[in-house]
Amino acid sequence: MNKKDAIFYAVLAAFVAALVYTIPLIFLFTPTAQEQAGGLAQKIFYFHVPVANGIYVTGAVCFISSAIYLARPSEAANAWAKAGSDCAALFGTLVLCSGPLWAKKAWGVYWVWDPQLTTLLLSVLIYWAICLLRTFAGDGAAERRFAAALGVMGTVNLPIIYFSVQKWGGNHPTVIREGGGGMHESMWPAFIWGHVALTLLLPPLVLLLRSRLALLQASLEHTWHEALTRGIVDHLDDDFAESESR
Amino acid sequence: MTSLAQTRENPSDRSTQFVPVEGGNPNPSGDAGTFMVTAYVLMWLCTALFILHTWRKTKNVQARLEELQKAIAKVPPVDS
Repeated sequence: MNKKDAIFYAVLAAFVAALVYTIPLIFLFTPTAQEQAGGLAQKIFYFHVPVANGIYVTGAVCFISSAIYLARPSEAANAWAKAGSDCAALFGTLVLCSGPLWAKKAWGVYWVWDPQLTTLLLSVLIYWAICLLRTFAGDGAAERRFAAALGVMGTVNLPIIYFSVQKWGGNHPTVIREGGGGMHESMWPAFIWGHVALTLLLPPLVLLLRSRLALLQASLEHTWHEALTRGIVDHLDDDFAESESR
Repeated sequence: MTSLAQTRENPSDRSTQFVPVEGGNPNPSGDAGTFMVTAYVLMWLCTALFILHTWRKTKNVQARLEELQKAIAKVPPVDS
């Protein structure tokens, strides 16, 4: 087992352990919140907020790698930029899956055009656009640069999401942020462990998986071209190489 | 489209509590447990599918890469 694999399995083991500890903590040992906050549905909060913070982690990776790629293009920077945008799209989707269900119980509607929800939707759409671009527009230098520029732009929007609720208000609560009413002390352990599992451990886990895939795809493409030059493969197999390198 | 909260005094008042929205149903069909279970199932399903898809694709790419590398190793380099 090489060093990268060892790191991956260590993060995986820590993630599984944290999750196994967190789930019973949320459902068995954390009290249900008041009806106004959604009652039992408020327990979505213990995963919803950590995955929302996961967007900042994966978005930061996408931003840094994309900026590095724009300054000094390399396979590694491109792979991490790709992994960052893929994972940010995943975390954004998780937030958009869980938030509306909680909102339906707490607010009576699935969605409001609240500043925080709207700016989040915008960011998630940008990350999805990057994924679609990388999947369907090919993997040329121009496409990579365009995806990297979008990666920088998508992440610049992230601080706006965070501060929008304090700047412009809306329905989204700021329970634990500045000016918020806070949480009962018995709710903090589930909240903290939710963050350990889903903000500290899940993002590196999926980022490692996706970056490894992106590097392997780049390596496959180079090897493919070498094999083509040497006449080992022919153009008839192009479809396979194309589909696997995306 | 649903408009913003009815009670809008200033940003800090609005953002520290849950407030009703215009057109919102205060007693939505389905109990809180259903919403909670649906949210958790959706979240874990998305995550599991993402990880499984990545894992499977990695295995395929790795297998194809090894196959090509073996094929290349058997053929002597072309003189340019």
